[in-house]
Amino acid sequence: MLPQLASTAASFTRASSLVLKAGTDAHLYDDPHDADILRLLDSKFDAEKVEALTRLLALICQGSDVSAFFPAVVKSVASTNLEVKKLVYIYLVHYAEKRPDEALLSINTFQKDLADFNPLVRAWALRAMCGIRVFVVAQLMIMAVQKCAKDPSHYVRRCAATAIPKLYALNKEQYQNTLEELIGMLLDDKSAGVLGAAAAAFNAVCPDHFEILAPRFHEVCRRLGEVEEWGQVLLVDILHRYVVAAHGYPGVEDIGTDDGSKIPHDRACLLECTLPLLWSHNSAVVLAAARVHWTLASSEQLRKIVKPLLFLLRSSVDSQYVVLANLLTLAKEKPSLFEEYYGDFFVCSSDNYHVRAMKLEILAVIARESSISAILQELQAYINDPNRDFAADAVRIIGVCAKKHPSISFPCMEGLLDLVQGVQNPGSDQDRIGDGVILQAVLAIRSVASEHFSQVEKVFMRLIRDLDLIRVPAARAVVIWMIGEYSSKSSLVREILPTVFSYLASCFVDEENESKLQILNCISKAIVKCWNILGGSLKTALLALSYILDLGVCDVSYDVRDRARMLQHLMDLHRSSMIQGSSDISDMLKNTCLEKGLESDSNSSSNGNSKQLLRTVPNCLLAFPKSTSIPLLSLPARTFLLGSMSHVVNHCAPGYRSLPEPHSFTALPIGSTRGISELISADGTFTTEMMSEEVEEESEYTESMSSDGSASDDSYDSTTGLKIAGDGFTGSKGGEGEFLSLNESREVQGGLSCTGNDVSVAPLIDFSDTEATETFKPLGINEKQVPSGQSGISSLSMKSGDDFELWLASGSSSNKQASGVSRMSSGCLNLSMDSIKREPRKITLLDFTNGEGLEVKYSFCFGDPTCHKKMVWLKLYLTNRSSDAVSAISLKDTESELAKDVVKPRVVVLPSPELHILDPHQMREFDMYVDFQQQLVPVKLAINCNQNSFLVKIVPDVGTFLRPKVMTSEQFSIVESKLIGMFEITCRCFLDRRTKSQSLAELDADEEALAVARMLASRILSQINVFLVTATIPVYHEAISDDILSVHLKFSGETLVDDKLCLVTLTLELDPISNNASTLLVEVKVNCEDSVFGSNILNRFQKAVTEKQ
Amino acid sequence: MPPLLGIEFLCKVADVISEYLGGITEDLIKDNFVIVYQLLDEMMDNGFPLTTEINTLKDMIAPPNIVSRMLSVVTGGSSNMNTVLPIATTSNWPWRSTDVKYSNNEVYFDLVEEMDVIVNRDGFLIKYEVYGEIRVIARLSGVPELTMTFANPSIINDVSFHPCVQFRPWETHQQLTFVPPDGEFKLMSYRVKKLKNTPIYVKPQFSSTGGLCRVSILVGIRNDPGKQIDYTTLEFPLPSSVASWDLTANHGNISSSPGSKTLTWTIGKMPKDKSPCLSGTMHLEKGMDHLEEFPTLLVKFKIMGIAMSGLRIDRTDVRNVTYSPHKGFRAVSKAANYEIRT
Repeated sequence: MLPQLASTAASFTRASSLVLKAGTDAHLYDDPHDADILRLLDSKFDAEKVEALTRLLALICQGSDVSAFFPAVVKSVASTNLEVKKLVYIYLVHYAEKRPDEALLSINTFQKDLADFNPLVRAWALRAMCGIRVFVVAQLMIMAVQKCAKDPSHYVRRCAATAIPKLYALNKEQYQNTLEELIGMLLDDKSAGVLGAAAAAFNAVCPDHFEILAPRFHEVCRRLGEVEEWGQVLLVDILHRYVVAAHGYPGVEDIGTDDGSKIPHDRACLLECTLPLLWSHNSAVVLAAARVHWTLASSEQLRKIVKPLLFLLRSSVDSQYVVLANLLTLAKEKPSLFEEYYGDFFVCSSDNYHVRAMKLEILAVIARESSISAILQELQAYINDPNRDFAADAVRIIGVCAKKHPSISFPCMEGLLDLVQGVQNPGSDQDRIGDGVILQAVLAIRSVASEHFSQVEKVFMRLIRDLDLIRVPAARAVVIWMIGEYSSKSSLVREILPTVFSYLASCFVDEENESKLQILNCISKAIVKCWNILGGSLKTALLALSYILDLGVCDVSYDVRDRARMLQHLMDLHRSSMIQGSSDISDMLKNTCLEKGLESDSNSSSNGNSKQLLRTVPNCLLAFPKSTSIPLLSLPARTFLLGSMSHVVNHCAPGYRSLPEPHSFTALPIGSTRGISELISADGTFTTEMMSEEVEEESEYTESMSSDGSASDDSYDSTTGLKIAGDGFTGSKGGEGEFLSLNESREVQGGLSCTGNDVSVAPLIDFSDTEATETFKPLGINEKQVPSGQSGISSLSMKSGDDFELWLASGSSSNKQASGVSRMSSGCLNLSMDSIKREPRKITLLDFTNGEGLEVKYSFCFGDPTCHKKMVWLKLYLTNRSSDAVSAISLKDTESELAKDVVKPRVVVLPSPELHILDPHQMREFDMYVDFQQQLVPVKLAINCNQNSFLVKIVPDVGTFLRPKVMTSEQFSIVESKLIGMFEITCRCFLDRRTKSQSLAELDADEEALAVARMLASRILSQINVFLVTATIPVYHEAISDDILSVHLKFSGETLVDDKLCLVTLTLELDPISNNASTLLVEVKVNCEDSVFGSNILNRFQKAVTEKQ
Repeated sequence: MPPLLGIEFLCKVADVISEYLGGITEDLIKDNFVIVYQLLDEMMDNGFPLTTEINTLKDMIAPPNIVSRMLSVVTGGSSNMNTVLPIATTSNWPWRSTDVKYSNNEVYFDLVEEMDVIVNRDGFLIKYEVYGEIRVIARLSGVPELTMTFANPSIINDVSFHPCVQFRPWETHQQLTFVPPDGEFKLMSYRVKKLKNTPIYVKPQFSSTGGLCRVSILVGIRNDPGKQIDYTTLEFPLPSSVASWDLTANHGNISSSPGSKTLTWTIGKMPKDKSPCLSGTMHLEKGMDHLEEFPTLLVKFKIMGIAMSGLRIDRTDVRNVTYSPHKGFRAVSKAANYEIRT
């Protein structure tokens, strides 16, 4: 019966454990190799894939390298099942760094997922993509992050913010600007979660770039409470550093600054906003907030941080040490803050040693007259603790307290003496008290004695009396040292000296080295110091000395021997110098001197000045340092920033940043900050500006705007949103309109009056010229031809006259396709391609000095080539600069020759360059077509002439990998609307206004717009082979009250190799208010079917725009 | 990275995992290693915490339970991933989603208090303070706003709050105003210091002579809290010089773990009619005359239904919703660090 029952029970437990384990992953963990993982991975069932991936994960857990499965796993990345996806991502991120090439295979899927409708999928794709850390795709990652930073889902935006530090780690310099821009945008995000992650990114990428933070400071402060706890910690840190950098610490600096009202405002704002954080349930947040108050708050307000900080001690066992380390620093600085809370630092039995040591030290620091008795009582209890190290520390702290508070020093000394004497109880084990405790007790007595010797004199006498009972060598050494030290100060001590000396002499042999050295010192010192006051006991002392010196020079320890020898000589010198003073012992001294055989030396030197010297030498040598203060515990002072890792470990940990220099950051003037903040704020979210009053009104306005924006939640589209008007235009719309219309009419008149003149001088526009090449006369020539001495108005209109002419002309001949500028219904001027001159640059391939008089240059040709459409079209110029004819010229592609199997030649030159001869000063042009295969690899050519061969390189330009694609503005917008998502990339760059000899800044805004547009278009078209679809330039008109003029330039092209469309839009904003700014912001947007090429062409555009001419 | 941030995060991870798996043991983690991986992946990204709110996490990754496991065994498929992102945090309350619906609206408040006591060897009370937490389980539809007032808020010494608690009402009139997260959370923690009357007394006596140590420990109720004092245990480390012991108790039983040299006296329910007493002798090792280190006694007990700090919730109101939810209150007091020095 019973065994049956037992077996049933056993099987039942087995069954129940099986039931409990069923469905868990335990079996997969235990036998990950149980199944054919590869087969499972290839399975078409998601469940099997999941199982395979789970097994791989188990293997990773167990430390095996399963990177061999990488290709198979990458294949599964395209799965639509979320669980498969997640597991694959975990695997990929784990191994991608190891196998970057295969990881690239997954990029396409990531890109596809980034356009998924499910925000979770987008977020995962972004995280995985940025997590694989493959350098090659960094540009794509940037684009992905830029895209996701504008995602409608806050979760995705948050992941984008977290991805920024990853990108930064990948390449620190290259993306700095882009990332900072992104951070600025994310700091404006209306979701608090994003703000927290943006703070982390800020900290990682640009912790000192406060100009990003400055315009947002108040907004960020205000929203601090909403941010999740982890973000709060970092945000508080950033804001703290900002306030210190911008306004310094409170106190003296405030008086010196000119506008005192604003600076405390910032500081007070931060203090107020961090106040609620002191009640956070996250200890890191509390500490961060407390640190702000510690450095910035006034002393009466500082009390607020005390209780929250003390409460942290109860929050978790693990953080106790860190909290205590910070409290210790605070307590050392301002003990008064904590003095009434000493009870919180009482040690309980569960504390570990480090925590206890910390608490003891804090107790010692904060002890006051009022609390000392309670603290002392508590410290006494610790002496009984089983942990003897801790007990020794407690004793040491008692000594510190006794020294600091004379009122308790006597009872303390009594207690300590009892402790030392406790050894004398027969049968008691010394281990109970512990060496450390006794040593500390003696040291404590010594330290108190050094300050208040009169109070402890009697205690000291008893200590000497019990010297025999102290068996700890170190403690004995200390007591013996004290005898020597106080022999001169205390008559009581002097009285017992003979007894003590004879005792010391008698036990010298049995002492430890430490005590031996001290005995030698002690007796010598007593003799030197008390030569005249010792009286009768001097004889005993000298006898004892000579006895132990005799013993000492034969000691086994060389330390003792050396010391004994040195003292022997010194004492002999001393004695001989004192000999005249005390003649009664001179006989004895003589004897001893004779014994030592030093008579001659001492006699010869005992005269005149040297006598004085001799007296001081032993004094100096035997005077041991008087400072006998006890260092608290072995805890060093911490100078690092509160709450930082370095503060805890007390050395500079990696990544440590101290608070910035006060006033190291000065906020930019209001105008320019506004410019930046406006440009960066996108998506209809706005930033509150600097703190001037007028802006406060404005911020109300913007707040209402942003709430509208959040209601409609339309942040996904990439429009730049509303821009806030500059100060000058608020509330004066009517006047402004009048002014503008006046301006325009004046311009019209001026233009009309001058037209005739201009036409007579030179044709403004050659309408018949439909060639896209450089036949159009550049604008600059026109301007030069205008006579210089004209009046202001007419010269102004002269500059704009040609444009106006175009405008008029196009108005009359709207059917003409070739018109330079057409009037748009929206009140914009439209500039077309034909009016822009192209200036292709000639690049020297072979210099005539090297090429025996043959000069070879090339330039990229723009436009559509008639043949070899898949190749890059160049023009080759051969000139003979020598006086002799150059013969047998030929060109060869060196690489194609090496690779024999190449069917198509990479370089085609038309007409064939097999020239026989090129006469002096003769120039020939050739069309050349080179197939770069869309790669930025130079093509090497060999130029042969006169039986010589010159190797040259043709460096490709990304801008020429395109061919112009003619399309209308409508077609452009249709294609553009299709190429969104991953196909769209944007970047911002700055155009230097002053490049063209200040001509731009002097112009009116609309004139400037035209000039800038022309300049930009010309720059682009001279370098990049695209078609200018439209160029829209707004003009001032009553109907348009836009304060900011935006110029749009649209270009189109297609790639040479695979005919993929590539559309580029340049947007440029001319803010008439910030006219004095030296740069203009240009936004470049590329929509390209080939996203890798798109990013290349984006860079090329950026370069073309920003290049200096 | 501030060290406390790291520590707090690790604590959070431990909390979340034990919440998911019902504890942290090697076996549990092995059984659910995929979930642990997924959790870790979700909780932090690139060394920075991502989603740590337990309720949001539960929406994203379903915790394992017996039903889902059985289902997975039967159907062969198993997915603990939620396929959509939880809709939380579009509002002003990142900890709460706006579309919560329950058929039974209820909210429970638990006062969990822990007593920290130090009694010195003379029997004087050195420290007696209570650390308390208010834990809330909220199952409320819509976006309710709760207010809670205490009858005696002045006794509270320190506080810390869940981020949902508003700062101003507490600052001005010590009132908690909050929109609760959905599910279980810790609303606030507080500390009440300088309390006077401990519920029980412990009178230990260790007297040793001639290699013998006479032990007598008397435990009794000092101030009857009015509720049963339960799960009472008393433990102390045996001094290293003790070779053997012979101790008996008139109530409960005594056990010692050989490894840690700790003696545990389990009393259980505290009898009201008599005082449990432990007495006997301990034999010291040879050559020892008397006991040299005196152990510190650790007392553990639990009192259901009472908050030892004396903190009382005056009233709670639920506003902003049409229904009137069921409200429940509980209290429990535990001895956390209740030590008697000898």
